[in-house]
Amino acid sequence: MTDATRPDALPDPLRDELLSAVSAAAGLPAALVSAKRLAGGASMETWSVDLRVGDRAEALVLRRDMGANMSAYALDRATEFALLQAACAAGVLAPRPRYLSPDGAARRWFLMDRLPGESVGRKVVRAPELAAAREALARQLGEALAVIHRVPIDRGLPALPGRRRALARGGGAPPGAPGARLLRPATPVWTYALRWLSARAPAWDGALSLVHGDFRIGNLLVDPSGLAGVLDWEFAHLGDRHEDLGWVTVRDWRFEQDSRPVGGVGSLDDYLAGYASSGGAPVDRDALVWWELLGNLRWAVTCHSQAQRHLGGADRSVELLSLGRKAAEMEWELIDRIDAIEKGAR
Amino acid sequence: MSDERDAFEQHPSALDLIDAAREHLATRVLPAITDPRLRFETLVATHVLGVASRELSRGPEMAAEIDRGRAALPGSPEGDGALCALIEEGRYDDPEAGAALRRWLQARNELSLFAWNPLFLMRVKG
Repeated sequence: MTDATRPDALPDPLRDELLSAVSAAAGLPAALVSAKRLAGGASMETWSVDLRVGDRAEALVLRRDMGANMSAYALDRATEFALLQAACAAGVLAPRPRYLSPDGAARRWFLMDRLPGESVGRKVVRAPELAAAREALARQLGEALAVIHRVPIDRGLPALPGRRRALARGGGAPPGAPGARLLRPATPVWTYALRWLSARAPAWDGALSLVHGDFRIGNLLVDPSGLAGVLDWEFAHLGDRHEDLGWVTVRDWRFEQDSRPVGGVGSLDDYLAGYASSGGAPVDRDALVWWELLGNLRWAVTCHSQAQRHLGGADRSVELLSLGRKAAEMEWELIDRIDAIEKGAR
Repeated sequence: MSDERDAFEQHPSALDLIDAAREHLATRVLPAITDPRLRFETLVATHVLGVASRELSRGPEMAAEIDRGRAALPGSPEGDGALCALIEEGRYDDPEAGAALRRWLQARNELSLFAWNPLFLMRVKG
């Protein structure tokens, strides 16, 4: 057993709090078998945790707040836990939430079932053992999104933030754009892209859907049989479902498999056919492209905000700092796509 | 380059120092790291030294090119702040001015990408 998988790799207070909460919820004694810190998101601490609860072995994942590093746009863990419960009940392919931290926990956490599969983007789009899975994946992504967007929003869901189309109303930050406050001071690329997008915001009927908010390769578990689970619900909100539909088509989530516009794994036609076949409402293709372009802007702004976490001293990390320069990739894509659209219009 | 400027140059240069540190990380440190997280972070550190090296190697040339191109845009903005103000005023809303702005923005992006990720640039430009 390596250091990383020793039971005591979990900090003692967290281990005690976790076992106490699980034991109380299950009405059985709980013991830690192993724990391993996983490479996780920038605002979430994630662990693979194996427990013995009574006589039963439980394979779980722990998601825990990172305190000061939490995004202002992220759900708290109790809300995410309740959302996962509602989503699973509605048939969404997602890990079943199991145990929630006590109310008084300094940093909230929850445990959910650990599903099999690969989530690392570069592996999902390239691993030979997933080749057969990739053939059906674009269609399955469409199917999964349709199920998410059909979740009833008027019953069973916890209170979620509603990101209305502030941009379409002519002001404010782009909807679904973490870090949008950093648009001031703006760069010429952001200023131009925002003005261009604002002038072309597609018509919207105002119908709110449950929006996952970060539905992309990298947040999806894939096993050899295909899509195994939708992860990372911290940016879920109520909004225009085209936001989700466009986000997975952003170039960076193709992980260099540029010929496959949907997450580097498949075609737009297969994706939208899957969406329609699972009961998804008709898709406005212009709106999808608009949200894809806005997604590039959102990701570029987010990259800058991540670099700022290092520069501001809140979280010193060469990885976060480097993301500030990665924004150039999304900025290139934005201008290239806008230019192509403008040339087509002339 | 003038003789006067030569007199103030440091030897080894900043570029030499960065390249040496990058080479050290790549050839001596990385092979010795077994922890996956530390290895990834060190790969990133090695990469950013490469970014700095490429940028410094063309830095003055890049800055001058960006400034010249911006000044030649409709409205002759003198800096990014002035250009943003012109964009917000609608100065580049008409097709010709918009096309000129996009050409400059993309030339600037290409210079950034030359430093950050030359392979991305090769891929997207075919």
